[in-house]
Amino acid sequence: MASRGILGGMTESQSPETEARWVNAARRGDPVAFRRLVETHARPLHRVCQRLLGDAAAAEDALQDAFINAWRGLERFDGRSAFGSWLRRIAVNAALGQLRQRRIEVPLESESEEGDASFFTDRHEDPFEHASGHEFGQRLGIVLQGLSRAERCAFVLRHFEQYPLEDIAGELGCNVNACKQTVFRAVRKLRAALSPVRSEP
Amino acid sequence: MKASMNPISDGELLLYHYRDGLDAERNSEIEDALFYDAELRLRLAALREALGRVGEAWPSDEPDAGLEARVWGRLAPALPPRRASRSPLTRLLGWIEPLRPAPLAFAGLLIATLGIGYLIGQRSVAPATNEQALLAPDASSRVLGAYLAAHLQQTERALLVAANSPQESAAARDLATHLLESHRLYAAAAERAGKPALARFLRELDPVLIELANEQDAIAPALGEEIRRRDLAFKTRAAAALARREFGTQTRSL
Repeated sequence: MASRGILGGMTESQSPETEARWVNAARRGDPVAFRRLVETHARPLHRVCQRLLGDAAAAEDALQDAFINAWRGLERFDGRSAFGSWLRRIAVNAALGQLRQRRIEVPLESESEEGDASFFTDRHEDPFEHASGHEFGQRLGIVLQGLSRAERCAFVLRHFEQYPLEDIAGELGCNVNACKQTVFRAVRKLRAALSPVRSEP
Repeated sequence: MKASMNPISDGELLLYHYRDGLDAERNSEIEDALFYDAELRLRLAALREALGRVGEAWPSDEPDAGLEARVWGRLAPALPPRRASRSPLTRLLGWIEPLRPAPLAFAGLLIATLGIGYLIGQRSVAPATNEQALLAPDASSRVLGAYLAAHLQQTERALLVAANSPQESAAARDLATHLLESHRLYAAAAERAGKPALARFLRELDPVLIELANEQDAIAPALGEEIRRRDLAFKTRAAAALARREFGTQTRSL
């Protein structure tokens, strides 16, 4: 989405050159340049935080922390990755910081019996016969309520943020096997939301 | 599917999909199995479709239009000062910032001071030459000169940024916007003080400042070129120096 920021600049659609200029100016302490960066990235980063935290207000708090950390750490941005990717990582860390405050509980030992877990409740179901879009959306909302914070976090980091399992395990403070099982459980629960509700014969 | 292969679980299919968490050998086995086994391909397709639908339907409340303003409003006062070195230009702009008077209030005060000075001058200095009669007494004249020079110095900064550092456009734009608030009043004050050339020069700068204040993103190269071509920054500096001297000594007409 492209929207006009308060300072009159286009957001989310700046050229890399323009953004690089803002980053350099912000590094030198220019708050106006940093404000432009904030306006450009606030919205997509809010989405990232909200996916992890499941709450818009908490996401906004995490966003706040993320931008303060970014401001403090601008010298560490070496320009090898896109500035947006760098910020995204900071936003994820800020959201994870919030989750840590709420105590994520992850089983430290892997549950080996779940290694063969099936994501399909019924092996013979037609995999393409799914709940309708609206029904699915509703059921997904309910399923998400049933995900533990660790499951939600592990799935979001693996699926949306493309974090390697090893990194996710590091973030969650568990071993890689436990992390895999956490992702499996999340997918199994999410997959259940897709199954059509069958009426009794 | 090869007869010797271990059955492939959904978990392994998921890891295969993410290309993460399986060793290279198991990845190859699954790849081979997918080639031979239609049912396995169907399972993988179903899994990918499920993940795709989950991704699309993942709830996300689009924040309201005020998100950016709200975030910045909370952020700005919380930002710790940065200790990184700043460019000389940015530092200069930073130094000037707290010295700026409230433009309209100050310009009003300035014109009032000048008017009083002018009246006192008219009463107390007689007979006088035409030029001397138009000049205010020392105090008010020096006040006008000092503030006019400060205004011109800030104008020079904005012009220098526009001409030489287009990447700092935001600073130049904000400064130009601020200067415009009082620019015409200074021109009027110069006119009243009997400095028509200075008043003309200030009016000449007016459209340049307006254009600069209205720059949306980076400063247009044409504007920077125009400023350089007309040597406006240098002329502005010279005008500031002359204003300080002229209003201080009352001897030369600008």
